[in-house]
Amino acid sequence: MNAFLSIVFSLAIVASSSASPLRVVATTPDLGSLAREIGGDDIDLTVLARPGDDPHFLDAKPSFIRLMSRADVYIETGLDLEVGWAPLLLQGARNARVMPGNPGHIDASTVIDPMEVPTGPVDRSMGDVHPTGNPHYLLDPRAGRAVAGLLRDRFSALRPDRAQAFRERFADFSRRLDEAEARWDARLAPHRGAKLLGDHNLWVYFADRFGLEMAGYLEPKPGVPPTTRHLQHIIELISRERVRAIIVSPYFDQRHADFVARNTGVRIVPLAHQPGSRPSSDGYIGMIDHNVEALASALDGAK
Amino acid sequence: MHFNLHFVRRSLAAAAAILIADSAGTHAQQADGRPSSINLIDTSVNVLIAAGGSSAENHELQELQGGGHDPNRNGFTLQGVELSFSGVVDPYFTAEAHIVFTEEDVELEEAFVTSTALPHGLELKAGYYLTEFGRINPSHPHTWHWLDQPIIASRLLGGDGLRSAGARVAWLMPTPWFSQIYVGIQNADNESAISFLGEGHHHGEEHADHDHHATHEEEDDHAHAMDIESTVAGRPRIDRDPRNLDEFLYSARWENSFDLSEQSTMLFGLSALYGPNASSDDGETFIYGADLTLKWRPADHRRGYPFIVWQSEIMSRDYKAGAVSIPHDDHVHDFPGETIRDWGFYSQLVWGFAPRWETGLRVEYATGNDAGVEERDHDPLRADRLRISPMIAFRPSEFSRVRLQYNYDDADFLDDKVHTVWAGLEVLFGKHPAHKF
Repeated sequence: MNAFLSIVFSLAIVASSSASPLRVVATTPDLGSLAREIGGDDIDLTVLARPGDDPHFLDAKPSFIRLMSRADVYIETGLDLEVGWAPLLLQGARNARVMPGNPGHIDASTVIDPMEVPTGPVDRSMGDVHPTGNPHYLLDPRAGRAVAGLLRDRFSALRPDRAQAFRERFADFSRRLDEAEARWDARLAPHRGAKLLGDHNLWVYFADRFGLEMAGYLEPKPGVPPTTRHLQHIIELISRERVRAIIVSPYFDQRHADFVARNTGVRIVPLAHQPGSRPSSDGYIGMIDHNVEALASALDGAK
Repeated sequence: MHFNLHFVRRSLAAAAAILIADSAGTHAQQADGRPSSINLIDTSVNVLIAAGGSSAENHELQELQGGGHDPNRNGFTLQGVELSFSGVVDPYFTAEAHIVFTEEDVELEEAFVTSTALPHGLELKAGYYLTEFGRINPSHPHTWHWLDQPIIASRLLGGDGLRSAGARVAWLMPTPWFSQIYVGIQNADNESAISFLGEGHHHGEEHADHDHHATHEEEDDHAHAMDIESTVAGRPRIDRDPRNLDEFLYSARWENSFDLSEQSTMLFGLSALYGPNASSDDGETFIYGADLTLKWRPADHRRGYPFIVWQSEIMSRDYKAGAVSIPHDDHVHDFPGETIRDWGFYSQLVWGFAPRWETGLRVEYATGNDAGVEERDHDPLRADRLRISPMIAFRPSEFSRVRLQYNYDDADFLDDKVHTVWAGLEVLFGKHPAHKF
């Protein structure tokens, strides 16, 4: 609240001009963290979802409409992740700068290759379907780099006088990400091909990047809570497929994972779906650091 | 606004054609080879059905359940099938149309255009739309937590919600908090504008006639008894042709919102309506209301649960009836100038206690002054009423909902307290809805 208010007040005081920081609204903390990496002090950043929030389910709070009405840049994950609330903010904001088609409207998914785009017909008997692909791509550092590049380009187009700074920050971020990726690759190399289970279908991009395999999910269908019969099936699957860990995210009830773990002895690994959603997972690189380390230590022990 | 069956068939055929066109989509290939599609129109269908049993008979239930889409009989009620279309028109406008089908007829619920590109936080809306008064009136029945409309809203704003053709401007003010003002002008003679020049319209069976309860010793002065159409409180209805600027319905609303903490948000609004009424050539009506909504949702929610929403509205109507003299048989009946006042409130608390589960309690009260022709105690639209409604709801997914609601009714115009249980099923298919705060 206080952070919000101070941003709100400072926005009200700072008059709009090209010299003032870009007012950036990001829907989720991962996008916010990337925007901060590239924008530095040249942006005034507000992130709508809190780290622990399930980004599918957010309130279209009137204060968000107010923030959007003053924003120069709006960044969304896209692929229907924010479909339950963002359209009302965009409509309510009546701010052409952030409407689709303008440089201030950034759909980050336009620079990544979506996975799990359905090839056949889909309908809602299949649960929460995302017809344009799985929206949890930022858990893969390759996507993080691509989105950071997009932010650099858009910020530069909107503040050409600061383009040099955006380029430098991107170069710095990219270098740190290179180092981190080398570290992560080394850490997970011994576990290539390991089969994992997830609670919700969040981890397919992460698994793809590090050569892991998602053997199944506790949810029988995306967004549909587990049934006893499905958990029974999962318990069989774990022994049949030699699944080595269950990845759990902060906004899912861990009861089901606990039940499966008790019945199979498989380890539960709490990972961060957003920067800051687990202890010591702050920042975009910090989030993946946390995830790689937590998973690798669990798999080390599960040999 | 409702149509005959021929129109129903034609509109169904048109709707089907649009739905088919929509599902086919329009696909293009982007430069980088990724398929893209152009969103021309979003469609959805919402179906609300209810079943209930009551200690009251059907004609009494229809007096108690004043909302146009309330379940109102023992047995099954098709509350409504809403067909919604929305889309982006061009860089300057979006548009929506909502058509509601009931068992007997079809009505246009709303059809309007909203601007998206006006400067200075301004937004223009024009068309046929629900007046932005309070929280319940501008929202569609399927967004409500309870199966029926609050009593005081049905009384003052009409069973179908106050709506009419017109235009309004909303201004999102440059304040350090969310603050928005709406100012609008609409026709005052739409049938839904029962407190103004509207004649009212009832779904399904006609509501039990007021005469049923009228005290017959007063027959001579009673508009019904004189075989004249009546308006509020049994006052005779005058033909009044809107032609001047003061013959329109004016609306204003001011709403403010604050985030009290990271977990809780408050929305506070004041609304007002002013327009002519059908009691006399100079009759005028003021309606004013206040609403307060508090919402709490912790940072570690799961799929939006748990949450608590407390929403309350209070509203009051001053129906200023002018003096009129009506010739009937051999003599002239004089009706004095007077102010007929009605007011009431509802307050409802909803607790989403576990993922997909919600429970709540709503308390309502409505009353008025003893003006008018018809005795208030016998007028279902004016008598003192108390209603208490606990509710429990289960949402299998975002697109379906099952509800169970109990209504305890204490109404002055009925001899006995009434106990009713409603069960409701709601489904939505089509475009994923965005949920308003």
